[in-house]
Amino acid sequence: MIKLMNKKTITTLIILSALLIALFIPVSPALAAETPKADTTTATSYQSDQHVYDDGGLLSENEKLTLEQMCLDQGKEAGIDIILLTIDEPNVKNAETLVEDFQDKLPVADRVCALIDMNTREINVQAYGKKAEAYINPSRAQKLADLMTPIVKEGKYYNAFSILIDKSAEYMKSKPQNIITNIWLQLLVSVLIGGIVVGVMAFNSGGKVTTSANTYMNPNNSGLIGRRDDYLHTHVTRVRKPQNNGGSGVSAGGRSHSTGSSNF
Amino acid sequence: MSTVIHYKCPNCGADMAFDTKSGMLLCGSCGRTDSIEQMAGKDKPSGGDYSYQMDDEDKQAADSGFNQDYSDPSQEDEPSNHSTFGENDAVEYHCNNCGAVVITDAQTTSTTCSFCGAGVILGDRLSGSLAPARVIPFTINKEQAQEAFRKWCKKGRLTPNNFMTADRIKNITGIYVPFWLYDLNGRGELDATCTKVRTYTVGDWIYTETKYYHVYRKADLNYSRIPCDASKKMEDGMMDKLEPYEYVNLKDFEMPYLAGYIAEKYDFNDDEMLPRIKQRATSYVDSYIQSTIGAYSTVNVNNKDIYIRKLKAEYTLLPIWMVCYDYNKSEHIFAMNGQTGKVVGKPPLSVAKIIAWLSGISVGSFALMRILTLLLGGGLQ
Repeated sequence: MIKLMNKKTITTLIILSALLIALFIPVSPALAAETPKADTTTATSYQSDQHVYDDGGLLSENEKLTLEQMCLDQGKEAGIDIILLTIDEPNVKNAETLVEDFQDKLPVADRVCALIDMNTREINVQAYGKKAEAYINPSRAQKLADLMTPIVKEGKYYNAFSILIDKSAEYMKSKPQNIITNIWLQLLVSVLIGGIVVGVMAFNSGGKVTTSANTYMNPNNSGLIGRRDDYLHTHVTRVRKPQNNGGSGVSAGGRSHSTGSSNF
Repeated sequence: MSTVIHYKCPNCGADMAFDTKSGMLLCGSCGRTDSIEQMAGKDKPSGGDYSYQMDDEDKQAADSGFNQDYSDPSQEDEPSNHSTFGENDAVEYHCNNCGAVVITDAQTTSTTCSFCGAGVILGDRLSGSLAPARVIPFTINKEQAQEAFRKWCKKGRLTPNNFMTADRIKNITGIYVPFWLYDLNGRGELDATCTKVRTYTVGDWIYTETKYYHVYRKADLNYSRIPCDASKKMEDGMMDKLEPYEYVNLKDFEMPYLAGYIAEKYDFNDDEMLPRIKQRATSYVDSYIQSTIGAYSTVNVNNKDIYIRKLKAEYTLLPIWMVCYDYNKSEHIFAMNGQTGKVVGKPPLSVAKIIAWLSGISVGSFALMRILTLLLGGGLQ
């Protein structure tokens, strides 16, 4: 019996540890194999193409050339395609669909696309492709749009775009850390759970109270003899719906992306 | 006056003891059994039967409730009808068998003669104001108690392995511990402001609608036989954990039930224990009223009145096995409900097992969290 108990605890431990180790082995190579493919095949074929589409006429020729070079250099280094758009046309569809439609014409790649729409005065940043969407997630896309806003307000479109290029390239270097998926936090929480469970076990090892408020009550002559629920008044407050700028979407062509947008 | 009561077998003259299986007195020598009633008739203690009749004149409508009143409007605790006992420590008892002095504590009412082993009941400590009204006889005998204790030791997940063999039971003693069984009436009134919150969206606006209610509850609750340990020696927390007892086996007290067991008399009378039991009943009434409030988003209690009133207290002996266990040169004491076999007491804890469980659970929950992380699209490393 003694040996049995020992064995039982040890086997549980071994199984759990093995499970943990097994988790990381098959998953990582599979993912590693998936991402570079997208980078090399499709993105490279597009590299010769244009990156700056200044339909709004906000940039000088010089600025366009510099930005084009920056997109090429920084994009190559970060493994993404960076597309800059400007538009100043009344009666066009909203900024988000505009970028989506533009996107659908391009080959599939990890891509960041930023639009300054002078008509609706909106900045829209979208990230496409599995890796870019994961690294530039909705909250980061929103940060990019927010970062550009004050600079665009001052009319410094070139500066706004160059900051976008720098920041996007920087974002592609580190995965956004979700606090819940943080490995150290999870480790801490696991130890905490273990501690609480064992603590409860130790506390209850001496037996626990199993009687409750109902154990000794006579249901026959016990009960409520007075009960009133009087409605007094109603108080209504209202708040404006928070504008949901950062989010995810799917283009008409069926490409999913993360979006951030901001008005200037 | 010192009365020492022995139950002798009418056949062979040997000492008889209470038998848990048959619920009768059993002669260990010739196997003769006699019913408790029959044997009790020979040595019935004087006094004993106490009832607490309520004074009708005292019934006054003390509370003017709003639609219905308490079934018994009296506000006062019902009085106890017994006087506190006088100390009679100095009295010497002699064994009827061998004449030796029976060595007892001042509280002991039943014991065994340390010389000849005969069951000795000290009658004068069980009469008058000290006469128990009720008793729950042992239904678990010594062998069953040892077996149940061993089983319990094996179940301990954190107890050391060599403790789990339970082979070092130093001694195991069946004790009738004095308890007061209280019948209580609990009244509670609660007055609260509660809200129901609803949110909905119209156009660009999110509306939060909070409806306020005035909530009133009044309860009249009756509790019967809440046990309260009246012995100084027994640890209150430990005794509370031994509950519940099954009251179907609650018997009118007769001395022969004690034959062969240790029994004690109470150290605290029912009035002295009343504050403790009232505190317990207050929490019962409170949780009952809270449970009737129902589905509100928030409950803000403005006023709460709970009043507990004693209706009756019965001096009752409840069966408990005390187990002394030697482990690692120190003594551990456990108590077992002599009716249900429930065991309480702090067992030693094994550091190795605590570490094993801690790491097992931690590794397990960590693995689970990693799986969830990977499933929830955190896939890219």
